[in-house]
Amino acid sequence: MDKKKYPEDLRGFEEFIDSHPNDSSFLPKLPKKEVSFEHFTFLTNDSDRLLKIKDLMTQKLPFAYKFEQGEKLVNEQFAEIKVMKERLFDLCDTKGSPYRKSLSDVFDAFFQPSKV
Amino acid sequence: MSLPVYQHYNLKSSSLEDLEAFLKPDLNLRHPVVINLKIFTPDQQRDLVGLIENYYVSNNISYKFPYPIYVVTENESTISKMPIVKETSELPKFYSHAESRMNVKETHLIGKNRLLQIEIRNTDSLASATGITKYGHFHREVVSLEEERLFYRGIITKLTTKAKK
Repeated sequence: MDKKKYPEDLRGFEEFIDSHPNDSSFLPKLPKKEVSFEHFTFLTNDSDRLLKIKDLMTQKLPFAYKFEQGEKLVNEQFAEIKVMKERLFDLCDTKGSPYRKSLSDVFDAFFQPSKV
Repeated sequence: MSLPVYQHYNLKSSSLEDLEAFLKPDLNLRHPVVINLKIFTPDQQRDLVGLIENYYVSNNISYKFPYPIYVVTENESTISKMPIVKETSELPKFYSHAESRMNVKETHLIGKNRLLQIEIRNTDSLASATGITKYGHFHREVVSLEEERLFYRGIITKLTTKAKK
């Protein structure tokens, strides 16, 4: 029986290689990529997207036209901000307030005659 | 029936007649569209983007719904309200799928999506776009005013707690 010639670095593995001549079945098979399931997921996501757009255009937007809240909310915010500004001014304007104290410190530092 | 994946179109001519023949109301009804204008000069590209946008606005057809129309151009995205990209690699990956034969379940789902697509197409595009813009404008204003209110609230809280101590 003819013995096949193998390279030097494969010496000692001849019998093992001969027992698996052209058979690659002992190698682990890679799992086949499932494409159709990917498509199904993609189509389901697209369907959800379309459904949301449809709801937005046919239900939510017409409802928003009829009962517009934006302007009312903005006006309420302006009113509340005005009240807060007034309260803040009152707080700063009281005697002994931190704002007055800081201001007096600044003025004293600049305009008070030196004690030396 | 096919998957709603990108349909690429390379415009060959910038003439009005060719553009009119190319643009159809149902162009973006079944799938997202990519119009590549890169073979033209930047000025021609800007003019073409304007013409395409004008076609959709004047016919009251949305270029965003049911599927978006992307224009590939060297110009900045600020030149138009249409979705603009500089390279095809910038396109959203959501619609990048390899087409293949579909099974019964998928075909059924596409059939269901067709009804939704038509329903979206039949809505008033201009009114929807105006509504969305108005809603966004108010939303941004409310957020900015709320930030201002929280700023004042923070100062008042600090002042009152310091006064109590």
